Amino acid sequence: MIVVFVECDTSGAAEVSRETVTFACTLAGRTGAPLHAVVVGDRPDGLLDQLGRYGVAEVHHATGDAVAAYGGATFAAAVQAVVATTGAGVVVAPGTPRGMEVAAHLAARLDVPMAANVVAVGDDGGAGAALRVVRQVVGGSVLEEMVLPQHPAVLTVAGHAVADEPGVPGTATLREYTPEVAEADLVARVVSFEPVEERSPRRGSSSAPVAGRGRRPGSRPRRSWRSCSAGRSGCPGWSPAWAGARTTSRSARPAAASPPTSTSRAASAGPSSTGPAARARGRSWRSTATRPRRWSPRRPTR
Amino acid sequence: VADVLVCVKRVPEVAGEVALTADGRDVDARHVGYTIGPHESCAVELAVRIAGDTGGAATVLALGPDDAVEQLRTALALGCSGAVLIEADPAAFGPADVAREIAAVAGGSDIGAWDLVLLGNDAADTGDFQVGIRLAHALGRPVVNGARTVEVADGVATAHVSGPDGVETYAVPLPAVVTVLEGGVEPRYPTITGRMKAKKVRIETVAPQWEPAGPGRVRLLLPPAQPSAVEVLGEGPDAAKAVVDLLEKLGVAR
Repeated sequence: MIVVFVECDTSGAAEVSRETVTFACTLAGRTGAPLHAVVVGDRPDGLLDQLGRYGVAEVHHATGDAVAAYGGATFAAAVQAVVATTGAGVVVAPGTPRGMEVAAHLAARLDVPMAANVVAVGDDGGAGAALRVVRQVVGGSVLEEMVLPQHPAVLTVAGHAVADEPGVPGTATLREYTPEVAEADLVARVVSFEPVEERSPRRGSSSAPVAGRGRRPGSRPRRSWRSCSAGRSGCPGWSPAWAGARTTSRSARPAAASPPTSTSRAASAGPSSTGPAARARGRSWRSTATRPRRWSPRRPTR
Repeated sequence: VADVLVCVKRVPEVAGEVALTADGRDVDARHVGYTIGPHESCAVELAVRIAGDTGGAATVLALGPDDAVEQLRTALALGCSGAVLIEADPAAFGPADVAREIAAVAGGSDIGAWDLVLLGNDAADTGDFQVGIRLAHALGRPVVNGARTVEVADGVATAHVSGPDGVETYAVPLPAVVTVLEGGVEPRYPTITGRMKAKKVRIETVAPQWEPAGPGRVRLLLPPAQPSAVEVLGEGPDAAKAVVDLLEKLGVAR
């Protein structure tokens, strides 16, 4: 039995969770083990059909006041209840901050090793043998072959290491349950929440990129990229409107175009190469670094 | 008053291409320096701030070889007032072993007792994502994972975490464990005075309490090199049409 912990957003299973279910489905297909999923808290409409397409036979939906707000220990208690019920040999979670946290809590509660950021599973040598996994270490620069000798083998799947590939249409069955959660597990839970403010689109983000920096009284009309490219790209006075071209940046996209997922940059557990800590890391460079030149847009020549 | 223990790990300061040792079991760090991870740098900063705000003390702890004193002295120079080294070969210790050894020190040893234990969210080299949670389980304390900022007041630690949909706030009673994610605070630089003071601080050295079970590592591998994906679209003005076609294909231009 393979149990996969699934995180959901309003549209269904989150992106990295879908990849994780694909990974678990492949493993289940190889070992012949049935695949079950655990969903804690809200269950979006259509989730059973969605997970059914990935080969999930049964969805265990944890409900109740204890899991109404997120808490790593409470969610792990919900997954642990399914592991105890099903006798799962492998527990898979997405490599998101919450997936990692739930898996780590579960591994600590069961006193078994855990492998984070797994990208592949080796030959397990048959039922009951140690599971061999390959996982990312050193920020993904190195792979580690690791053995998980105890059962259940707890692992998280690295985000975007596996393609999200649903299989044949199918529907999973639903089992709702209310996990028993100890008082101690309820101590560390989200007590308040502040949603991220939606960024307003930058000026010009909804307009098509045009040639020139806007039309002034008496100036020539705007030209589109296409008209400039048709043999006239070298015409005098032509320069791209970089302000308009900023629509390509991630931050300028309308918020609705990118639904909030646990793989968002804000939720990423990976070390940033541009964060303050990274700057501190590279402080030896600071003494030799030259002052960066300020970028200034090229004004069209008249 | 809140006394804070912050745990750091000595890790190779790798950048660019990574080399492995001949036996393939470790990163070859002969030609690189050592540092502490970015998450732990922020944890040290938070520990010093909390200790300063509450009138407590910040102590830094590392499990590693004798050379890890270098990282401990760096943290001392940043404002920690005490340091503990669990002297051991870190390659032999898995995350569960490390958590158990830290718990032996943090859970009421002769060395001291701490209200709050801070750790990095994950180690920069092994990326295990679990030592803090295992430590909390061993100590029987609540744990908040991936905190950007932490404040302590009236016996409660308030941590702010970047969740999938926004900023989540946790409030846990002390004693507690919090793992820190980089980005919430700007780590400070050590001052000359701080460096001078750090040299004089006595570092408590202890031996591991248990035989380690090990990390389960079989070997390390370098990922296969990615083939170059560069495609030359053309040169000069003749390439403009191909560039525009590509931009339209990408949805950048209409």
